[in-house]
Amino acid sequence: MEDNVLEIRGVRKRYPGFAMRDVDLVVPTGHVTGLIGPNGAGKTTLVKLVMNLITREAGEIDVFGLDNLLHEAAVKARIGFVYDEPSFPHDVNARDLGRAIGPFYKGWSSERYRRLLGEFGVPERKRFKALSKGMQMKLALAIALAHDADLLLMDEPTAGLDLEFRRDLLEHLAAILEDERKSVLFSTHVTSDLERFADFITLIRDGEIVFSLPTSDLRDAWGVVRGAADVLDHLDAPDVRGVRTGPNGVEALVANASLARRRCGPEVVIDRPSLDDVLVLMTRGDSYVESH
Amino acid sequence: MWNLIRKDLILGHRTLIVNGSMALVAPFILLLPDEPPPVILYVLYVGLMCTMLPVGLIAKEEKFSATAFTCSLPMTRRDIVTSRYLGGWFIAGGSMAVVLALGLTVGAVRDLWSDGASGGLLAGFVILGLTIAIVIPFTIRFGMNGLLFGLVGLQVLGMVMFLLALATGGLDAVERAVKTAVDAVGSYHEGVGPIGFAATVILGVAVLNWLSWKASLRIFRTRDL
Amino acid sequence: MTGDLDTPEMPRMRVILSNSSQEPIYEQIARQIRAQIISGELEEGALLSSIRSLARGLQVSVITTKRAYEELEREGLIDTVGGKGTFVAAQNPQFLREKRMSLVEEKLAAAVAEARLVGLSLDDLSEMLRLLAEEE
Repeated sequence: MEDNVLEIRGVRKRYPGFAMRDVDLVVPTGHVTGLIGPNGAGKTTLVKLVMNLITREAGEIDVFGLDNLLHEAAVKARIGFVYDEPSFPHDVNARDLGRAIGPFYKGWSSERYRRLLGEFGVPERKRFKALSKGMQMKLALAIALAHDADLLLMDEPTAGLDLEFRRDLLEHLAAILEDERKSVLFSTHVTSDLERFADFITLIRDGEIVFSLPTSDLRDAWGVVRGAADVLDHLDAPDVRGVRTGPNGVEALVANASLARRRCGPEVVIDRPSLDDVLVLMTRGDSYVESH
Repeated sequence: MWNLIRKDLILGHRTLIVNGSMALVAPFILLLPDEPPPVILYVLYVGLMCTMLPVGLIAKEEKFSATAFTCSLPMTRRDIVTSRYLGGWFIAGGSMAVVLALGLTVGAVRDLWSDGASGGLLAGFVILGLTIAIVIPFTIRFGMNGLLFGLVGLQVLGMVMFLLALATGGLDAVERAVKTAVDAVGSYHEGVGPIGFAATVILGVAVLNWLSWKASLRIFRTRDL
Repeated sequence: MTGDLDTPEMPRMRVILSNSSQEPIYEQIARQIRAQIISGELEEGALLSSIRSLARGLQVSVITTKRAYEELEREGLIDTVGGKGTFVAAQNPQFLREKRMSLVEEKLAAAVAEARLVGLSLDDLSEMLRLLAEEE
């Protein structure tokens, strides 16, 4: 079994007004990798590139150690995917979908599918058009989870879903990950879903990967310094990843909280950053700071 | 491959039933006027309606952006394109056979067939093959909208060429050209006999489909969804 | 919930996490398990949940539980036997006693610090300690 379920190397893709250049990313097997970034940063583009819905202009993408173009069918047979806007013909219902799709996947279990539909509360005979957006997403999730996929590739799977269901979903994912051969790539802007649950966090911004780190580094080693504007003078510039100036002073994201503590003294407030802090300070800060 | 066709049938069965019913009924409208049409026309009409069945399925998928889903299944783009052609022939051909067979239960239709049955069958095959070969690449690339644009475009093209012909050599030249072509076909038919002619036509349709398939593969292979 | 989601049996480990605490989660886990081993609640040779089951039960990332276990293993409190699982290691009684003693010392140090803040003298503090001990 490979160390990395997904490896993206030197990938390029351009659209009018957007460019993705030399993107490298690995998703380790047996873990949850969260992909965060502002809208338009390239999260969906990455997912589409892996599924070959769009063609890459350069670079390589390996899934399960296989090139995703040369072994397209073999690779996709083991991927459970959820896109941010599930689309199916309007007059189709969940039962039809199950019957139509099942034969494509070796690991498909109609029993598991129906159980998931039941658990998620998706009516089996209702037409797709008649389902609420949340229900449509739950249907897509049920399909993705029904065939025992080795990689779950999810793009905003919880958008529009209530907290209770999101917890439910995380429990399902946690159960799946008890098997160390299963992996998840979870792209979202609802960072709270990832806080405790993701093993690695990758931040993408303007088509570039800014960092890919263990979540524990972000939560335990990084910090958010809050104070008056002069607090910035005490901090080591390379350490500062993002700054935001507001009416009440300054917020600075630092990669080494204990160092910052030593520099700034005991009075300055230094908190553990939430993923939201990281996202906001690194993508909507006063200026982008070069990361190493 | 057959999984794909089966999937399209399951997901599109309601559309197929609706459109299929129309295909069943419509040809009988041809029988309304006092002067019955030649069997070839009847077959052409049925053929067109039946070819719209698989094309409609493709177009529907496009309309609901469900193509991305199909392309996410464990199949290559090549498989998907090929299944469109195989499925197209299967669905259109199958439904055509059903409609024509059912038509035979009506006396007026049987009369139609009494004169030129083999020609009618060949025409059926040709219309099927031609429509599939021409329409699928368009729909694969542009969906239903593209198809409509294509049809309108063809009509406009026809009108432009007509006007051009009027302006340049006059209609006479066109008429002569068409007559020459028809005569050539006729003499070819006499030369090789009905079987030889049919064989040539079938081969021609096959080649056309093959070329169309190749074109579709290229179109679809790099299409961004 | 049924089927895939049967909650795994956590062998007699009680770990309660606070998400709002400043203490990193892996430390909270390690601390609580350590305490249970030292107090004898988790006996020598007891089987611990696997890293992945624990992650599932606590709804945290696998890397977090892995780190907690690594720390405990470094301290010699637990042992991972390949293929069989993770067990509470054989504890040196002397070592355990020392650990327990340093826990008491820690708590006393905290009390002393508090007392100082409030302005209690050493005599007041000793008196308080005597009363508390006699309550047993």
